[in-house]
Amino acid sequence: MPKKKPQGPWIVTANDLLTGRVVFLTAAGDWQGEAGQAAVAHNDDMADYLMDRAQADAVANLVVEPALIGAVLDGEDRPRPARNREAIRATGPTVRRDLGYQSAN
Amino acid sequence: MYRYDEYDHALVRDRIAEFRDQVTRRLSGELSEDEFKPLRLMNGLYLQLHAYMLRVAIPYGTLSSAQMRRLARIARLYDKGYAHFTTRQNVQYNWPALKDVPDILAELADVEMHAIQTSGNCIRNVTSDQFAGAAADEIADPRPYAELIRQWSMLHPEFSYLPRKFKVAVVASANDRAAVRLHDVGLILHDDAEHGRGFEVIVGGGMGRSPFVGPTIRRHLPEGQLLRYLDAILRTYNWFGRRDNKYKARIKILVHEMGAEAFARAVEAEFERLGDANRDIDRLAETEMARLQAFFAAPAFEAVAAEPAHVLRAYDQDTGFRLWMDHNVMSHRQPGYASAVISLKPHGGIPGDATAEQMEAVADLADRFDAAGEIRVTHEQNLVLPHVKKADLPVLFAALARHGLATANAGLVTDIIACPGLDYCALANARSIPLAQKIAARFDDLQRLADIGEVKIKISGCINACGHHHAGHIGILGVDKKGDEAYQLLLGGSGAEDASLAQIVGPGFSEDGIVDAVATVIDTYLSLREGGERFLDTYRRLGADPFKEALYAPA
Repeated sequence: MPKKKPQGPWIVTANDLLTGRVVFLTAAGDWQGEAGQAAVAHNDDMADYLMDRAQADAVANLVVEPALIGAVLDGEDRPRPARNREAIRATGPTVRRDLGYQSAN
Repeated sequence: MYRYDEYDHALVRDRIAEFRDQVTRRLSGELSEDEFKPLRLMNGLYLQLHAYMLRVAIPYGTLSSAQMRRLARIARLYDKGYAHFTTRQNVQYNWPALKDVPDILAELADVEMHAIQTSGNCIRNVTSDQFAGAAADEIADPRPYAELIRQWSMLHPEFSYLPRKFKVAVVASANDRAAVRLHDVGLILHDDAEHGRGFEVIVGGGMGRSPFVGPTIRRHLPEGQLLRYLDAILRTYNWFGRRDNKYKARIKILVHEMGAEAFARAVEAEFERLGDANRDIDRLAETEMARLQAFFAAPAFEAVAAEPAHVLRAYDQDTGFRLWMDHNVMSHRQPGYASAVISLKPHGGIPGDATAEQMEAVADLADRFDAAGEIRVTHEQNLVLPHVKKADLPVLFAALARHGLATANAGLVTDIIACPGLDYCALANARSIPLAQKIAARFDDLQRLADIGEVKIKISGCINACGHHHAGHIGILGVDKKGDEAYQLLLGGSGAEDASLAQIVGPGFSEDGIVDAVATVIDTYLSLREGGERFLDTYRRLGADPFKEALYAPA
């Protein structure tokens, strides 16, 4: 059974095939490590378009397990994951701030 | 300890070459993720919340110093400088790159290690007593039996695609230090004049979303018939186990639904049938056991003072050393020796984590102080030096302290099992590690911990129960409550010889609330305990009511 679509707006995330690193699909069509650079879908058509792009990159073996996730926007319209799980996934373990994507490592 | 023969070496090297080719084909696009995923899982490689995770097998938790050094080297070269020891006596790396994994496996093979069958619906790493070969209370070293099972189950063609994963634990003493009644198969070695040496066979225990204390289906199985009986159990499971529903596919569900007696009858029938057709397996088991016993011969113990005077003086004069001796040093079957538990639960740290430097320090200390140069990994996520001369304990304690490895809390409130939880795990609903840290901060007084006595706190970040919350004297289960982390409190579990399942006491708590709740439970116990009762004894005597009242009654 397909997962229930989260509430919008949305961004698309995946893991980099080579490193496993968490990445986000940008408006330029590439994948970046910062959720704030992700392309934001405000409607279903845009969400479907972004997921189609992501699935194409999965088929092209750039990323694995792409997923549409809910986002919230800050005052400058930069997105961050809405759910706690995805927020932790985007930054790294909360118990090792020296590791993960929040660090320079 | 067991050493690879030419067949072991060839098998592991061939498997690495195969996986290296599979990774190359995946990176080139020849294999899709759907095609590659089952192949990587067969080699212990998961894709977790942040990155790939590689799980490495440590058979029955026994490591040589050279193996520990290699694990440290891998942590430093291919990961982020640390590794995580697990409740299955294994070790996990949280950040390997896919392209590096074949090289990591080659590094492991150099020291006779691998990651085969650390994932997937197969027979996983066999676990055992961390004090095997050292414990004063054991009938025999259980590790030769565990090694026999490891070899039998390794790439076993009939049992490589079971309905679900399958976990076996073996102990050889009346004190269960491997939670055998909470495994798919638990084996307890007995030796009595009437029956001789053999196993009590327990089947269908487990935790997860449907927890069961496993029933005994055979009181006495002659040791020479072990493999034939395991064949019969696995065949019965493979034949009748459900494959239509992942959540009902473990053998515990089959045993529960058939009933233990009916399941036992089916196993006995298959056992007899195998006996008629194939008694060679009994002869093979006996021949191989004789060979394996030699690998686990006791080290060359020295005739030394049973109670060295300088150790007794240090015990009297140094409070820190006394607390460590009281809680982290275990009696040994050899006079003048002891087993030392190296706590991986420093207050404020992450349960089970060790840095590369700490792993190298432990390897050096094993070479220096352990009669066999061995290290053990415990299912409670600590390490052990099994054979240490008591005379060396003060120096060992000081050396461990220099590396942050001398916390005197084994078996106490802050010796917490915690799964990786939502900080690392893709399945988790809530974080586990921060709770362990907050509880440790609340009880950050070693003397107070000692006064409270044995309390086993176990934390899982989801219903899959990797943190063994069902077996906690105090268990904590993380749940997702409308997007927020929340925690249920369970009381009264045990993974020991008096195995029992913890029960939820009432409505759940927030992250801070659950820490307060644990403190309330401990305070209630302290106000009610009689004589030398442990927490679990008091709980079992009084039941949940006084704890519920303290937790939920209006102020």
